[in-house]
Amino acid sequence: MDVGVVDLDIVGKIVSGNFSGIIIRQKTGVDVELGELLVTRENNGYFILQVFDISYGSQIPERIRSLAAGLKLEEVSNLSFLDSELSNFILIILKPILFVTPNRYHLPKKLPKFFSAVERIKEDDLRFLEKPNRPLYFGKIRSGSRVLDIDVFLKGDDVITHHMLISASTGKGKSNLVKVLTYNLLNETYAGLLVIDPHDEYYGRTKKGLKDHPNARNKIVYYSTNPLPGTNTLILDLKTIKPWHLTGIVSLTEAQIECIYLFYNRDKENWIENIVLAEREDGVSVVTLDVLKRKFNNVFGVSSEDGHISFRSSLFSNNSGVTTIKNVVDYLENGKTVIIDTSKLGGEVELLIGGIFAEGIFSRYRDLSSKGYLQNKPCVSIIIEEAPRVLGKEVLDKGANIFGTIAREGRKFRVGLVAITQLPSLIPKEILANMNTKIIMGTEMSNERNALIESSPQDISEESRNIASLDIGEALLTSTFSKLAIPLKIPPFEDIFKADKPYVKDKTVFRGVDLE
Amino acid sequence: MADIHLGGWREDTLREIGIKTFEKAIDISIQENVDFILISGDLFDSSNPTIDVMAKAAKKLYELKIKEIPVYVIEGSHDFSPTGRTILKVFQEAGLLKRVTSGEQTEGKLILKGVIDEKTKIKLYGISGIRGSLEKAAYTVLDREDLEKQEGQKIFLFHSAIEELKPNNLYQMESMPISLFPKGFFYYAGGHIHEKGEFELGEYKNVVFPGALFPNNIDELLSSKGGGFYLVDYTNGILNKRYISIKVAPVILLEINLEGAHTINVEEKVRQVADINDLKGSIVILKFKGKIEGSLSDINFKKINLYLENKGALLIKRDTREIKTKEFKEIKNSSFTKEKLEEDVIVRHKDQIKIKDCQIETVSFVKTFMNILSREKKEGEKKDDYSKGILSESIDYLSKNNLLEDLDETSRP
Repeated sequence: MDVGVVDLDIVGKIVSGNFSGIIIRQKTGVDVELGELLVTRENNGYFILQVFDISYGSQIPERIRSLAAGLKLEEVSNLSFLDSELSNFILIILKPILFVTPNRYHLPKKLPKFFSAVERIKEDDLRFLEKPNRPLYFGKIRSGSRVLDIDVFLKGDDVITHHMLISASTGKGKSNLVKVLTYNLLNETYAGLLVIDPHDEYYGRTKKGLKDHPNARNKIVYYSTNPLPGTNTLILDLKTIKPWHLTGIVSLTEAQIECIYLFYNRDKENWIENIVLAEREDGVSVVTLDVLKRKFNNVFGVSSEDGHISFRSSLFSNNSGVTTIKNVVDYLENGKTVIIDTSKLGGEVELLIGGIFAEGIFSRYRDLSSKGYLQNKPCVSIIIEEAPRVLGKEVLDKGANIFGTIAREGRKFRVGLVAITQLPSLIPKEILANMNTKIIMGTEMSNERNALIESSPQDISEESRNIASLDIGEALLTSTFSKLAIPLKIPPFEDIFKADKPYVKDKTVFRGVDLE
Repeated sequence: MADIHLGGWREDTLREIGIKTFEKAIDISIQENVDFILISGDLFDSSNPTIDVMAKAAKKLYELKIKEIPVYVIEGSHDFSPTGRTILKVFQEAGLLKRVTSGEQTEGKLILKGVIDEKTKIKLYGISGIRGSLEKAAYTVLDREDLEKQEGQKIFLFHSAIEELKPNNLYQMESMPISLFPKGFFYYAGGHIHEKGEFELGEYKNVVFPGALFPNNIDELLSSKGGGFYLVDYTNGILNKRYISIKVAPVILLEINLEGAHTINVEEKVRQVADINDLKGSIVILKFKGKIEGSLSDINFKKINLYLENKGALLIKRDTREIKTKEFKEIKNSSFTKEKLEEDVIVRHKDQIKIKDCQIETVSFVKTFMNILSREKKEGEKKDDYSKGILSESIDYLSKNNLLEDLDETSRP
């Protein structure tokens, strides 16, 4: 740069530090934020650096500065420092995160040159991030609070089968993120998606939702106990429920489990009905039988009335919904997105329903794998909210459930979880470490941040403060399938519809009626 | 009733039994003094049945006309015609039945007009079934609210599988969710599913599939469930339904276990089982299973049929799907392309094919020969030229490989 020519992009110069923290002096009049991405250029490439701390610097001794401040506060004084902007300044601590050459990019193994100028990152500096095959869209790259027009994609089937964790405090934009992820996934054919939706917020019953995607008609299947016209009733025939669906989800004693299997081995289809209608059973105490009946009444809404089975809930039946599980599993196997509205169900029933479908697809894929047919099938992702309910230490200590099994073994069979939680610390470390992609949104509680940082695929030990300060829609993406932890801004879901061309529905041509 | 499929069977006897079953159902309806009859699709097996079938159906429907019992119908996936040329229209013009599928399209919505039964004042609406569940498009634009707010007692006729109500064995069948149907009708008369079933799902009460009136294929015959229809009584808001099972000819299933037997012993095995049954006037289904010695083609089925006919069987159907011969074993194959699958089968069995003095390797020979035989008829090629061409190419190929030594030169085309 010529002497006397001011480069407006420069934010500071490297003045000291080491590999774990490069210190630059910030140029006067420039504002740099925590988490911001900066660049320093070398002959053969450039470093990308990220701000992880900011502090004051001054050439004036501390006692003089304190005295000057005191004079200003306590007395009327026109006192000021000579060349104040030169003497007092801001120090920015940076972490080198990537070195980019024209041919490749990699983690830096050297320091940038001393006194190098550091500038704000521009979109062109990130063009090397290409859209992979079978992409999964996360949002746009964020530098501090500035959003760059660079879309972030990772290889979707890798990310999905190796499990994802979405963590955030309330109100930080988890639901919006899931909507954006799933909406964009509707453009692809490589993945089936099972969304257990306890708040009925993804389909878009009353506002914009996944149903408004141009591919929705072919890609989305929506099940609800209160279906909209054209959508499916969530109903299951009791005959399709198996004892292992209850494992780890409904709390059962050993005696109760034994009783269940006694009935199941005798009649594999009508075991629930038989238990509910049984007066007594050899080898089973009356108390066990009574407690089971009570539990089945709570979970399935079934009881005995005058020797006949009576259904309190519309979720279970003895002649409808015979094929629901098979159909849901088929849809997933065909790369569709299946949304299960569980908003009207109790917590335990919601998990039971989610578990039944999860078990269905896991078993199907394990079976296909053993026959060598899995290779060409779409991968399947299961989105589960408030994940510690099924993946929490306490829950898993009481007994394994299907979600725990998928977290440990699902990758082999192309089935992955997207676990959403505010409290990642409740999930055992080994499962958390198995979640190979984490989208970390604003998290105030330090123990939750620590759980995330300790299990992150990238070293984000310096990011704790950053994570605490993330605003709504801001996130940090860490993944085994990315070379760096990527700061993200997830666009508001509604903005998709502003950007998209209005979707014009084809005129429906129908037959089967004599039109006059 | 539904899924009568008049004219449906290839065998004269079964086709005749199908018609007789229909006649019997009509006779029962007349005896029971019904107000009207509903047929929820597939009265006929095609939109253009044979003259004989039409004549018999017309005769029976005319009896109902004389008795002033109206018949309300919709088309089903078999007797629907995309061009509108279905025999049901002819029968309607002749006053033998009434189709309840009239409607109009207003502002993109389908408004069903329906028909009011004069005697009972019950309103009947319906949407026909179309092959491949194409009727779903009509349901997606159906103005349900308009139908729901219509006052009076309403019946809805449909010929579609419903996602939530499908039986297990039909889980892959194209279907639609029940939420596409208008709510609040007192009866939903269904067709298309050949198994009977009565359902209640939320605001959809009395969703009833009577199933086929007479079995329509060998699996339905094998299920031995027979067929039938519902007699429904609706008085003062109380609905009672009674299933009437009709069996014109009993179906007798004879299960023959051939495990370890030689093909020459099959007749004897059949006799042993047949002799302990009264087969008079019945449809007999021979269901074979087990691994046998020898080839399936060595079994003299003609002789077996004759034996059973002499014992009074009206018709004999056989199910040989579960016979395994030692000659050809079941193979497990992970190949997906047709060509690869064929090649694998040839490779596995090549040792069983003995071709004397063949000039080329067996697998290659079989594949090439199969290719010659599988050539399809070209556009514009006459049938005769096509068969002569294939024969000529085959003979040339076989003679090139020294496999035609005994062929008389004159037999060449």
